[in-house]
Amino acid sequence: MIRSLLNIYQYRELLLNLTLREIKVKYKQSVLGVLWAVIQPLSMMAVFTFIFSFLIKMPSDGIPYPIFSYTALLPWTFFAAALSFAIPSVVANASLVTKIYLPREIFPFSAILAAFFDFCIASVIFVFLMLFYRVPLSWNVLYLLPILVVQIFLTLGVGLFASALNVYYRDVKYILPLGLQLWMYASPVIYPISVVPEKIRVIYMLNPMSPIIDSYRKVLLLGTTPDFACLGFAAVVSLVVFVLGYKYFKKVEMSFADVI
Amino acid sequence: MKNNHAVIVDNVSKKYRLGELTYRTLRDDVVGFLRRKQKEERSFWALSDVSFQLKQGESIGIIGTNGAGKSTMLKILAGVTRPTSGSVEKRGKVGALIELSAGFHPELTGRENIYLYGSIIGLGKAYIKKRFDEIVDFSGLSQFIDTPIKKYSSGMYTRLGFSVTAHLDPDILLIDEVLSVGDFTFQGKCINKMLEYRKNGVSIIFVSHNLESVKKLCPKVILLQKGSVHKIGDAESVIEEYYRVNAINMKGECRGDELIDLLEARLYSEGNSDQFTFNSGENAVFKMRIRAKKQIKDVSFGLFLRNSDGMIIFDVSSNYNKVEHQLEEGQTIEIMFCLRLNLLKGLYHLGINIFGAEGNKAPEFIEYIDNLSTFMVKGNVPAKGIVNLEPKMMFKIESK
Repeated sequence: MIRSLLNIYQYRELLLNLTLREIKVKYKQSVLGVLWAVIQPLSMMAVFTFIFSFLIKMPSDGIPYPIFSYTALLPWTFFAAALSFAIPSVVANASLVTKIYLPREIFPFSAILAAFFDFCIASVIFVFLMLFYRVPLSWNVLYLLPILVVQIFLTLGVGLFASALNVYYRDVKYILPLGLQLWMYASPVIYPISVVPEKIRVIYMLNPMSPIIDSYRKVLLLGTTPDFACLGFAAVVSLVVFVLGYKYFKKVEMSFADVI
Repeated sequence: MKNNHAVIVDNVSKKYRLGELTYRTLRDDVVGFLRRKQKEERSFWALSDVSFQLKQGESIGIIGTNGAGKSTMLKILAGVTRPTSGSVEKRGKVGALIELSAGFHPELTGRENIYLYGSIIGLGKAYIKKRFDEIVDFSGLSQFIDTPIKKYSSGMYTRLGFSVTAHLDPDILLIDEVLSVGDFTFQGKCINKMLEYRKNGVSIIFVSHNLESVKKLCPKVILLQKGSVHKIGDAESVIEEYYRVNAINMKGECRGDELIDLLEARLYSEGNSDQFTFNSGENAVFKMRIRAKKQIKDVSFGLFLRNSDGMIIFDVSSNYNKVEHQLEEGQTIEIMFCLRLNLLKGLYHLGINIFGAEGNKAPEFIEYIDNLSTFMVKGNVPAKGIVNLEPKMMFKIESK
């Protein structure tokens, strides 16, 4: 697997070009262009704020609800968009897969990178929200980087596994939107972890996205350190998912061209 | 691997599962698993026990009819798929000129696609930048290079694709049927480019239906038949074998029209029992006998020849001479065409047509058989092409 990763490094230029292609193609012939990367999480935030702040009072750990939800929506949108691009990516490039040899993981990788680009754009809004609500920053904000790395490993693992599986079973494509929706409700995106009953908290935290999103809130909004036990567990899970996902991908990769 | 070999293909076989070539749904597998039913595996060997070697700097052609396994062989060589058994060893960087526009994106401009496609086939940005003008020049598309290629014609697509791949710098080059694209001048350019590769010592594997260009590029040719190697040898003899093997398959069938019975049809020459091979310049006779099942008025008989590329090279009919007959029901007519085969070496197909009017109806084609028989012309006229214009050459060096 290490060898595969080194091999990818040799193909870095292609990875970059494919990512650029994803980004360019997505925003060509659209008037608002790259603004769409912002509109999506922003409108979700507006909807959730309306429902959970005006209609129903949802506790938000004393943080204004808009920024409370945006802090979670930002990484969640990245996660969901990355998977939605990555999982069909191998099948979408069937004409290349059957004709030229490339390390095939380059397709999900570039899809995830393109989603990361959107994530960066949408983060700009976050900075404005921070200023608007005058949320103070602490040094704990530096934990962002490891949290992001954990999330990316999880995304890569799930993306690799599911995109390979999608070559064999197109069911994956149909499960995807439903699965992502359920996964979102199973993660603390629209509500704080504190509303989850203590009794099921342990089970709840088995979902690696729960500690990941909770950690974003902790380091950005509350200015505290993340819950190291939970985040550490999520890191281990993510790494295992990544290794297994990658191994599975490489194992079945050579028969893609026969099946696709 | 021996020192001077670029590619060694050793007993390569490839099996495909039939019927399940496409993806499955989860349901199929779950149901299959629960019932524990062993599905009878229907399989198909696309290649069986193929072995050959390619020396460094050598060019080899692979020919065969559709389904002979040519594309599968190329896929294995390109590393896109693995053989079921056997092994392939390659020495050096492999470049592939396989169906060209696969990596293009229609929304991007020609320029963007050159960079994108270049990186797909392994050309670095710096390298493309350096040779960008050369690539554009080769494609002849400089005017449209900043237009999204969705506005290109299909010919422009392939030209752009080839122009990028033509600047690859491989040790082993795989070429799949690329010469069938583009117009005449572009094809010429492509051939020249390949000859240039050959001159530079690149090993070439060339898969094509275009036997003339195979002959031009490859001194050595492999004939695949139903997945196995039928013959390996010098281009001339293997291509002849290809013709011979496939002449039988190409023979057309009489449709047995409701108006006529084709009782007999054959091409022959005096003192020649073999009805397949003729000598260049030989007199041959095409004879057919036809019985009318109904009354046919103003009937005329035509005969035409195609060369191996399918182009009609000769077409004659009795109605060109305004010779028409009337056939009564049950009447039989014998028609003979005497031809002098002033043809050059090659494979030719003979077809017939019969034109006439049933009773008082409007005249129409009663019979049209595109490929009644196939024959080969042999000869040693030192010329290429189709017709023998009996060349004589004279030279006179003038004093200064």
